[in-house]
Amino acid sequence: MEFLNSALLGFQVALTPTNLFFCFMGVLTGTLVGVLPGLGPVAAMSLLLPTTFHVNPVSAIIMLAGIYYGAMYGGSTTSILVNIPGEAASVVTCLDGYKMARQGKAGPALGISAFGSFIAGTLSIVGLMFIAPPLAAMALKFGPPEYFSLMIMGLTVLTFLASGPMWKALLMAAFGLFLGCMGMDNMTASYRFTFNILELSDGVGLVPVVMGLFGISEVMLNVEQSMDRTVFETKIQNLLPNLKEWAASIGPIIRGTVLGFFLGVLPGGGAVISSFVAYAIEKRISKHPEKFGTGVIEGVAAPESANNAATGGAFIPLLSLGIPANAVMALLLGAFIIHGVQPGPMLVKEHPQLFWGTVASMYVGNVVLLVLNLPLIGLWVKILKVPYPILFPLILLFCLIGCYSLNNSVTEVLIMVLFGLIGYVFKKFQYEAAPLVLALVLGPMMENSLRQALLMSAGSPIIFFERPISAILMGTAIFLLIFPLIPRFQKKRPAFGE
Amino acid sequence: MPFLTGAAICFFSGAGLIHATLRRRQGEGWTSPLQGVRWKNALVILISMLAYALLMAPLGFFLTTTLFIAFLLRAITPQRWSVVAACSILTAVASYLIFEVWLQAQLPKGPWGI
Repeated sequence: MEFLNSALLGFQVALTPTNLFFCFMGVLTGTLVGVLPGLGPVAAMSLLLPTTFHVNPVSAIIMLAGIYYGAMYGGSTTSILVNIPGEAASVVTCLDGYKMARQGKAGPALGISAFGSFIAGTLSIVGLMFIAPPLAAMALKFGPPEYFSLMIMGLTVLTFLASGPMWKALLMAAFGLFLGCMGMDNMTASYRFTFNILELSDGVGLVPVVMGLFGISEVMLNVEQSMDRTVFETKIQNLLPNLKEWAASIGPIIRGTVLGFFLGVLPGGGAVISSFVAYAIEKRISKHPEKFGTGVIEGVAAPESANNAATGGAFIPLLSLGIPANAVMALLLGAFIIHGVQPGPMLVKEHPQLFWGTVASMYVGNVVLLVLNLPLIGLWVKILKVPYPILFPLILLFCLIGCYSLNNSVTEVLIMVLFGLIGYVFKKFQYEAAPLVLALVLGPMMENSLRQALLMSAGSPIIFFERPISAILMGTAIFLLIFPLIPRFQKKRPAFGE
Repeated sequence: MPFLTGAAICFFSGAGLIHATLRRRQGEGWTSPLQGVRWKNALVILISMLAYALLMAPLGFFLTTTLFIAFLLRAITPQRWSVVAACSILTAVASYLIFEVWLQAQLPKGPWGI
């Protein structure tokens, strides 16, 4: 009964006209950035973060969450029609989606990705509703040592799953932690690495760093190459898949959903990896694996369902433990804190309207997306035809204004430009920015837990291995660190990129 | 904590160095990441953004934005002057309306009050 009451409360919050409006704005913007290559959900959310300062926290979070799962929907459109993934989670969709479009089956491909996303999104929200509150109740028993171990494990998993050699990802994580040390020391109130710059006394802002690393550096890379793309000219018809197509896709959708959801919950997992894994699994269990890559509908249904299910799953660690699972969630954590809400075990109890409202709005958002996406595909295609040379100054301008209006500070704009350059160099040398961002957010939290834990144990690090939950988490982290060093397993590390 | 993270950065950089040396021993060459791309475009973007940040306060939001958009439209892939003029002024007006009027962000004012 209590569950039903809570769910009802959520829908009451989500269905108020204001929140409905913000939900709509969020998913619309999300789909838009999903469609536009070179502007991912991370950059878009940091862009729009300043605009949410004037509204109440519930509406703000609802809108930001909408951007995230909206982008997952939008990304598939470009993958299918242009063979350019709008964002990383839709890379695999290109393989079969674009081939389907070439065969004149763009309609069913777009249709099944929208329906699959809808089914997956809905199921994962149900999962979120059931798992998050009990997990939060359990997390109330966590002390500083458990939190520290959990964050260590989160970072390790992320670096383990990152593409390229593991030392690169670990280096990025260490650099992120170091950046997280800047600003005022929480325990002694002394300033560290601030160089007498007022803006740095609170630490490096997350938004300038993220905008620079993900937004500006992406544009810098894009203008280096020739900027023509061809939108595949085809009549998009039969958006509603027929019975045969449904029969072929329903299995992949369900499997993709379950897989995506659980990979989403894992720290460092998330939408990108789950879409790759879902595709690989479908190919392996399929009766006709050789047809994958030539335009089979299963190859669209599975990854598109998985990446949407992962978005629901990714909210679980954030809402119940207060620990972000990926860079997008890290940004959302930043948004929570700016609005004076501390996500974590107490969130469900202290701010039930925020928790259940956000969850219910995600459901509403999924309906809006389904209604929005199918009829509006024509509009998205038109937007794709706006030439990039005209588009990119606008993206840059939005970054500049968004960053400036955060604190009305030119210094932060300069920090953003600096991180644009850093991100550009990282991308050139194939360093991933995601571990850096997660570490930057976790850094101060980790440092606090570490020092509190060490105070509890009078300075002995054994405390992390004495308490059972903490010991398991630490053990997993250490295992993941050593695992790639064992020669027998060296080839087996999954090579999926963020 | 700063010490630990610093030590970790050194450690993993060392790992990177060893890794790279090993790969070179195996005969892998190094190709410049700037090869075959128009990296000057990226540099132009970076400098124009720096200029935007520094000129915003003395010149005001409106003029800086117009100049910024116009410059980028001409510099990277030259557009027709009519397109440049229309796009830059339209963008400046639209972003002014959205951010200053609707969202009430405090954008810097130039000598002409906008």
